[in-house]
Amino acid sequence: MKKKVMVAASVMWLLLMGRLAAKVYIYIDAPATTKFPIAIPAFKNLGDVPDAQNMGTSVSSVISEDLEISGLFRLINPNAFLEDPSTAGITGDRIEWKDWSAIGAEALIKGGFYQEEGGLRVEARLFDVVRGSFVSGKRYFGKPTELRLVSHKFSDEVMYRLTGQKGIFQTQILFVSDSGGTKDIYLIDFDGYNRVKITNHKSIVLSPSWSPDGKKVIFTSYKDGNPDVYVRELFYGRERKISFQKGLNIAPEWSPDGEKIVLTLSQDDGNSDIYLINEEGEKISRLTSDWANDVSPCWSPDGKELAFVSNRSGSPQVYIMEVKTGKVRRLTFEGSYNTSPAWSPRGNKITFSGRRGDNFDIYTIATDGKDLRQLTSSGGNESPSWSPDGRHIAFSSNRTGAKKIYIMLADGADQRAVTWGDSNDTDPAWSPHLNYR
Amino acid sequence: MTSLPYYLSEVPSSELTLVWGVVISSFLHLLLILVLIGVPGLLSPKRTYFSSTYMVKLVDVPRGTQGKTRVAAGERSKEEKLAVGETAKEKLEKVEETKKVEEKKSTGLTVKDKVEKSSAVKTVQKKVEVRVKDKEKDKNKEKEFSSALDKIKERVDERQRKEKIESLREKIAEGERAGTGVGVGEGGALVVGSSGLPFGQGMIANLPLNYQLYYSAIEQKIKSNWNLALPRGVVEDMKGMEVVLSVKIKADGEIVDISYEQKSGNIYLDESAFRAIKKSNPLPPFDEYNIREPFFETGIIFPAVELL
Repeated sequence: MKKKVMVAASVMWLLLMGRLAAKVYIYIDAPATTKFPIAIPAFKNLGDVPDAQNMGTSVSSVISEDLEISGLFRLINPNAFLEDPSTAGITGDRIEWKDWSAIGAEALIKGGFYQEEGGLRVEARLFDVVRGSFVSGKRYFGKPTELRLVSHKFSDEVMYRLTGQKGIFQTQILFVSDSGGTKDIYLIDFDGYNRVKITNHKSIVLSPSWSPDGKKVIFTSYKDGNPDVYVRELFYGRERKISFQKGLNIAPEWSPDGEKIVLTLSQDDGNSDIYLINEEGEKISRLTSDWANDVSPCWSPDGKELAFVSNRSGSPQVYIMEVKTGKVRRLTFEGSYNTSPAWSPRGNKITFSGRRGDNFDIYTIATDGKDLRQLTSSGGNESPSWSPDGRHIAFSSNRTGAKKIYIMLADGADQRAVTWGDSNDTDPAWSPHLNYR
Repeated sequence: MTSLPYYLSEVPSSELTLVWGVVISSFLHLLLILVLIGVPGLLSPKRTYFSSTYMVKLVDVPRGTQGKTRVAAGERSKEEKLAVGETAKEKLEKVEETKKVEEKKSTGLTVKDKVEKSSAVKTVQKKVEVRVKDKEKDKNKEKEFSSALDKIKERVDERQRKEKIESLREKIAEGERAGTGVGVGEGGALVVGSSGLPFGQGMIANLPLNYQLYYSAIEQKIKSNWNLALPRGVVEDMKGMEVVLSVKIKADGEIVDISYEQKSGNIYLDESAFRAIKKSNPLPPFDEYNIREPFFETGIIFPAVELL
């Protein structure tokens, strides 16, 4: 019997040991880099027409710059490429994977183009070098002038395939510039190219803001002498004056659902307060009614709250209001002048421009008032605006003289100018994702 | 004896033992089931962790440098309680006696020691946590660690090491329970559960030196090949997620199989982990580390780390 017990016990022991004796797991605590190594050789001319405008390198360099701006990719220097571009193919069966894995690439973009009568055909493919496999391919038809747009489109595709996030490479930025002598609204691609003049009021135009569908712009103009609010359709150029009450009609911004517009009116008493109106300019409600000046309202992404600037405590500070209840709490306490708040599309942060000493700088702060971070430190920096993915911020800065539009990553990294020249460029407004492009 | 139905038949005393055997067996089975259900973590997948960061803590105790400690004088005596023994093996065993170790997965670097007896270990643990937080220091640590390891290595008697390996091979030959890549052995003081301690959910592998070095080499190589480019925000949503892959390595270091043991739910993290392993092929051959196995399997865990 003792034997039986022994047997039973050892069976149990074996079972327990089987449980306890497990495989060894190696824990890799952190990646070596947080960037995706990618190689983008020049696109090949697949047609008979000579590539007089260097389109092949244009496409690859636009895509390279896009991916670099995203902050998520490490572009492998083309000088390191091993393959012979004259003999190399652009399809998977004609790629020597070792040539690319040897230089550390994990992804590879290859493409080519045909110049046809009145048009351009671009083929682009994304490959996984490590697996040696095809990931995605696109063929685009367009005008030669749309080469940049085609490149941006493929950058978005790459971004989506490799990180799962929608890229911002087809987004645009509206801003105010005095380059035409008077302040008017201009439009650029997010990287500064394709600059177009939008308004021609020969007056002072201020604070452009996008409609949620990206098809309209709302702004303030002194065209008729008083600061009034206008809505303009970007495609058709149709423009309407929607709010022209006595006093200030300024800083309008569409609600995320596109149904309401929040703005600042001063009306009779000259004291600025925040109101809601509809697109016809009809007043829906008054949101603030104290003695102080309440200006620069902006929506939370869910449309339930507003951040705005008020001097009710003595100095201009950022406050948050719950729209439904009107309940207000103060967000910023540091610094004597904090203004132009913008709510992150992810909802967790607010960026604003704050003065410490002589200069304004761009800051971010969590919506609970914690985690205040200064993002800029050179020159005066104002009017921050989020990219629709919440990973970038556009702002205006006079760090090199005239005010220019800059973009940077949301932690302040990689600040780069996207407007150039002598004019003063201010009030950037980054578009939502433009689904029509 | 008249023929009665078998259930009425008289039971001979010799068979009575059998009946008792059955009863005891049933009882033990029941007990086993209760134990399996009742003991937390016993039914959940058991993992043994290897992390060089952890190894720094246990092995890099300044005893090996014969008094040339880097520890503050006040802490030295406490350290030495840990720093017993002439070999890494002994140290590890001693530590096992005094504490229960658990690796806290979510923080990755932080090793949470559950101290049961020795408060001295607590002090060391605190120090360790501070060290781990400081990456710079950690790098130095790694250097110090490897030199310390070299010294320890020299001290380890070659014969004893061979015995250990021999014992390991025996254990493996005995058949790997639960398909473990590295065997269990009391004598060889190898992995997991060899001391029979009731470890919690996941424990630190108690490996012989050559295995520690080999695992460390794997870790270094894969880590250097891991590029994770996830947009800000995405990672915030993934806190605590991890992807676990299983890798089968041949004696010549070639990775012959990579499979997902547990996906993270984020395909991009999963893919980055797969690529890191694929790029690390081949790993160093076993014989460079005095490992005598035809192949072995190991798990590799990649956490969704907070990006800057």
